Amino acid sequence: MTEQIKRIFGIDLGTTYSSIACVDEFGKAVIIPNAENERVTPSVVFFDDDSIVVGDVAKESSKLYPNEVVSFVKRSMGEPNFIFLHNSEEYRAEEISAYILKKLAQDAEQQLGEKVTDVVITCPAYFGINEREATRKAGEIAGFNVRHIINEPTAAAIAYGSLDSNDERVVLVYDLGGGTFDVTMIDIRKDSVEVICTGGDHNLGGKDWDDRIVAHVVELFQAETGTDEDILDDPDTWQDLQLSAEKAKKILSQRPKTPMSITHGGERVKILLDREKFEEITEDLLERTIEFTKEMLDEAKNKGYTHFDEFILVGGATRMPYVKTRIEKVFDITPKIFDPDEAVAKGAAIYGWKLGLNDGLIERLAQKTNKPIEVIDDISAMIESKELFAQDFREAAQEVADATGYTLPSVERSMLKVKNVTSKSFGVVAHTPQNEEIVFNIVLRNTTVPITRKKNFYTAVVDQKTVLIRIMESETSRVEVPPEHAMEIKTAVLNLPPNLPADLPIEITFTLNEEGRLHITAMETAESRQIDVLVDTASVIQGEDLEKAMARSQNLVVH
Amino acid sequence: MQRENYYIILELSVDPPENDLEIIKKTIQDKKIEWSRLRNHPTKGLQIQKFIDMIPDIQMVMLDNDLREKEAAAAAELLQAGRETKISEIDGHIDILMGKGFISKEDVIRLAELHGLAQSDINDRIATRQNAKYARLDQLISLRMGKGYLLEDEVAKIAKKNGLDPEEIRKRIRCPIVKDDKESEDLKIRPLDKSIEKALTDNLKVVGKTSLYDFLGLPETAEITELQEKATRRKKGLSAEGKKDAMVTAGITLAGQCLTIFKTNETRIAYDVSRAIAKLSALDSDINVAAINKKIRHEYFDALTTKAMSYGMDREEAISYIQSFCEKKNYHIEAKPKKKQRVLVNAVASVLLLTLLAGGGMAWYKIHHKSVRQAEYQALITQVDAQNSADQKLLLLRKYVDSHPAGEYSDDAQGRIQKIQQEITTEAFNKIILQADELIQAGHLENSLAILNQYVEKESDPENIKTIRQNIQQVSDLMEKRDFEELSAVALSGDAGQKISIFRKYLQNHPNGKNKDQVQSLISGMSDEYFIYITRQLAVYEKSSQWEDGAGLCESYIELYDNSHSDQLKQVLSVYQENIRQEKIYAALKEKADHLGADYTAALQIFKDYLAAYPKTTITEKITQDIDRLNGLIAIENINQAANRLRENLAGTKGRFVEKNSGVILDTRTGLMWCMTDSTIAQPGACLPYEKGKEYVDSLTSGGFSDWRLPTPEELSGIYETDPAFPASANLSYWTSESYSGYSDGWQIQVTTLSSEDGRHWKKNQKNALECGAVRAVRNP
Repeated sequence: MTEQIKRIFGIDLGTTYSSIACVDEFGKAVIIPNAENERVTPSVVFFDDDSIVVGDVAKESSKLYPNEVVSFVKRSMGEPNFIFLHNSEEYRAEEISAYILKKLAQDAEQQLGEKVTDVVITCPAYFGINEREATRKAGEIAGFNVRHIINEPTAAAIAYGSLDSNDERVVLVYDLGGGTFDVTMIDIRKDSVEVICTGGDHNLGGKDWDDRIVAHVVELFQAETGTDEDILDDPDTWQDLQLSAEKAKKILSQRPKTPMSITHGGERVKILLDREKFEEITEDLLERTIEFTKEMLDEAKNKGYTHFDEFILVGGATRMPYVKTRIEKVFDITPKIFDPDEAVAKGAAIYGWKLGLNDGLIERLAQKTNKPIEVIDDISAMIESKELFAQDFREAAQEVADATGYTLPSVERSMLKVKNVTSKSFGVVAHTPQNEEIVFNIVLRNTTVPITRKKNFYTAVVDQKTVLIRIMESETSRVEVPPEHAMEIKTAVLNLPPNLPADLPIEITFTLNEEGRLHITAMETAESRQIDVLVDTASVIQGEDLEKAMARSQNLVVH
Repeated sequence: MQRENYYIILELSVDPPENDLEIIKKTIQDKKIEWSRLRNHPTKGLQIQKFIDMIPDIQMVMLDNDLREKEAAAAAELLQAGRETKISEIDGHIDILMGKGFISKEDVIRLAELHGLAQSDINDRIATRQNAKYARLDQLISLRMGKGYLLEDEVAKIAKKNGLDPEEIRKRIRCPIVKDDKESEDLKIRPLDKSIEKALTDNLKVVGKTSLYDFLGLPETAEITELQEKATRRKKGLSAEGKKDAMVTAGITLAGQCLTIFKTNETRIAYDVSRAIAKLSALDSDINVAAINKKIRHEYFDALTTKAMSYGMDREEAISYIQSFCEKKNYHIEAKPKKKQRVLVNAVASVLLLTLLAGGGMAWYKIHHKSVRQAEYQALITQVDAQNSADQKLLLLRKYVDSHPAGEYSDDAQGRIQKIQQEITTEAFNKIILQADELIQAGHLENSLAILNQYVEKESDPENIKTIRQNIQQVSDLMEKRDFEELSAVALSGDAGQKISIFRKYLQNHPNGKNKDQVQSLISGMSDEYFIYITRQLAVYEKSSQWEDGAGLCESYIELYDNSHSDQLKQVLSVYQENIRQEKIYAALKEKADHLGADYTAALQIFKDYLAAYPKTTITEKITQDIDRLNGLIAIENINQAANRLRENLAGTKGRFVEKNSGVILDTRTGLMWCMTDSTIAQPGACLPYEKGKEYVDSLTSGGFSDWRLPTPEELSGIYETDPAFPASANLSYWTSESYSGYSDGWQIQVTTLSSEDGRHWKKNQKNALECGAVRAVRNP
């Protein structure tokens, strides 16, 4: 491999487990095991006095030091009021996630003897703007050049699509992870992966199944010992049960029953949990995933997709046998369990690899055609419009193939287009003629991104100085939504030039890029001057907190 | 749903309220850290997330002095009273008002004001009270569902007890009904898994609901399909919420649980059974709490019995349940001391007595003769005992006494009647004392006084009335004290009007009040201040002709004071009184005129006559306005009449002219549209020189169009001179759009007109623009 093509790594930053992958010299995506030689690393962080420990050791430590261990931090991404206190220092979810990322990268560097600089990180399709921004920030705090934030089901589909790339088909990705559930319909074609529709719940995942087991055994413990005490108030017991519940769930996916033991306050109770009981106490959770899938299929119908070819299961929790049987029964199709723990990281790595090859191609094409690099963005569109010659492209591709050792077809295929949709609707708070506040959605959910939409707003008085725009995120496909059904994600202040008349249209432009990041521009229409838009994302780490986190992370070695 | 109190969540001191900002900030920060740690707790996670979501609000309230003060007050109130007392207070009031058989709208408004609630809340409460009977029934049923089935005996018993048809009861039961316990062994009924139940309870707590039925907003008797549909809708609705806070997340989880639980009747019964068991276990835990050193004091035993009855057991069931539970747990129930038993509540004693009486009577008859009469009387007593309402019991007994000769049974019945009457009287008396006391506690002294007075008016027992009168005196004293306190506050801060009004109110309500003299002297000291207030107020009233209000103020001063100010006000008063008289006259005129309805001409005459007789009074302006208004109405009527006449005549044009929009006539031959009414109808008798005529068409709006113009001579003659012609009346001369200067300097304008004397023969000629003419407007299609 030459130095010219920078290796871009794919990271699956999961609620319960994370992993890192790259594409090897044979063009195949591989998981890089961690220092403990495990292919997935628990997303658990242990603050051990002065050092920070991530992974299995941290997870095991949670039983002994429950108050120094953070788990499931992904569920708090973008939550401004989540704070972990250690040695009177405050840590936010973004920073704790950064430590997980650091651990993955460090171990990979050790294995490969190569620095990890550029990464593609995945997040649930159902993440909103704040959570995405927070994920990107976590990568930055860890010191990476975050090339892209890509949706988990999209990554899984890329991994799935790369297996047999000649077949064009519509697949449904049912991704039940440790903490989140996504269901996505994806159209896989020769040169593109297009997301049609997506839905889900980022508070529904394997952990909820574990929690049900915990609650169940607590009841049994109370019945057995005759105590009314909530034994979960004891952090040691809580952590202990949380871990054994996870183990029990995994065993029950393989065997019909499993023994469990609960020790608390000197009393020890042994119980036998069988699969039937487990499925009974968690049935409603499974039912919710089915409902989300049905709703998503309804939405897909509105976009003209009435049929899908394959139903693939991703995410560790899909190993529970009744997931498969229930889906078979409801949707009359045999789902395929596809590499449930690793598909996402691998897909991200493939996507990163293609980005890298694409970079190389662009660089060479720029040299050949004497065009600046920035001009060449969409190569296939440029070939089609005759701005580039096919001959130049083939030569450049051959050069890249020679330099990297990858085959010519795989280099040519690096132009794979990924089309995504936004999982949320975005709009602003506006006033109706009756002077009621409503949210006017400018970009509706399940719209293909990138997208640019414009809308005019009007100044209210002569010589108005500023306009306050409240940017709202919601989960409906309606244009007008009552404010209480939407969430304010950002506020933007437009500073207007002096001496504008009243009722002057100000053109506001919403641009959602392919990652789902939102950019806003504004223009006053009197003299077409561009106006400053100050955007404030209060709920994601920023300013002093961010700098502090960056500084702390720079000198930190994660164990 | 009412949100949690922040003082309570943060565990800050309420009495005295913590006000140190540093401490509050630190507490919030500490809580933030604690909650973040518990964020992923397997059972409390959602409740904790709700708290985390609340942090911005908590900060806003607790760091703002005014909001915090309010919060502290609310916390104190919550701690002191508890929400239940509030509800029971409202219920108490509703019960009193329901006493008359219905609750009027005014009652609802009053209650809403009294309790600071929305009227809809009060209505909800009333509905709940009215449904209490069914609620109680459902409670009886659901408690017995704890074992997974109901016995036929139980169904019959419930039906009898509530005076209902057993079928009615069966309809409300959602589990199998079996003959005996043996049969039930075949049924495989089991409750929900405990952990599911716990998850349900936790989530319901987060969303502030009591059951899945409550969550779905459906009655417990709802059909399973209805429950399913509602659950699906709820889930969809909640999923669409943009803000996935703890409430929404808990709601989604609950909706998911509804879908599973209400999937089949079997699972639904499991849920209902679980709820019943939960109630019993709540009782169990109460018993456990009451058992100190494995002993249950007799007072506690009574309280537990009451509690058990509130869950739907009857007294024997309650007692036997508690006794058997205690037996199992090895708890000892203390016996009641003998002495106390004698002073037990009257009702219990009399019930015992009655039972003894009945028992004794039976024994006597057994020995002597088993006559028909005995059986009849026995049946009556059984029937009487089964009645819940005392009135029903009385009715049955009286009927018996009236229809049977004097004798043992009649005497016994008579005795029973007296006893019951005495019970009713005592009961009513006790109830009134209790209610009056509750109202006093709640600060509703007037209501308390009202019900006490009502009692005195209605009842006759001299002893009771004496006690009640004492209570009335107490309430009056309390009211006096309260009013004087209120008065003192106003005396310090109110304006002169408020002061005088509250002083007078005090004297009126408490003519012999303790502070009467002090209030009198306060009034005397205010003669100048009050006069200045009045003069200012009068200026305002005069501006808006509020003579009655002004006169009222003057009178109020004159009543209180006799000085030079009052002399001055007396003169003002006489002017106001004259004005009031005039207003009354005007009102009478107006009423008379309004009475004539659509006969505007006659109405007009009434006003005109008065104006002629009294040309200059304070109501002249108003009368002139009425005259203008009536003239306008008459004009409109004329237009409508003319239009209707024209409509009739249009029929004779053989379809050439048709009314298109209202007031617009389409000439189907040329496509031109003509305004139905011409200027002679719209402005009858008015002289319209050419310029005015042009203004008339320019400003004309008819049939929704405003682009009317003058017709050309050809257009005009086209409708009047070609058959079938446009209907026309006599003596018309229409302006056309054709005009030219009569002299070269433009001094005189000549206009082409089309005129007719008989409405049939038309002539084109020229006319000076300053002469009078008429306009028939036209517009292009």
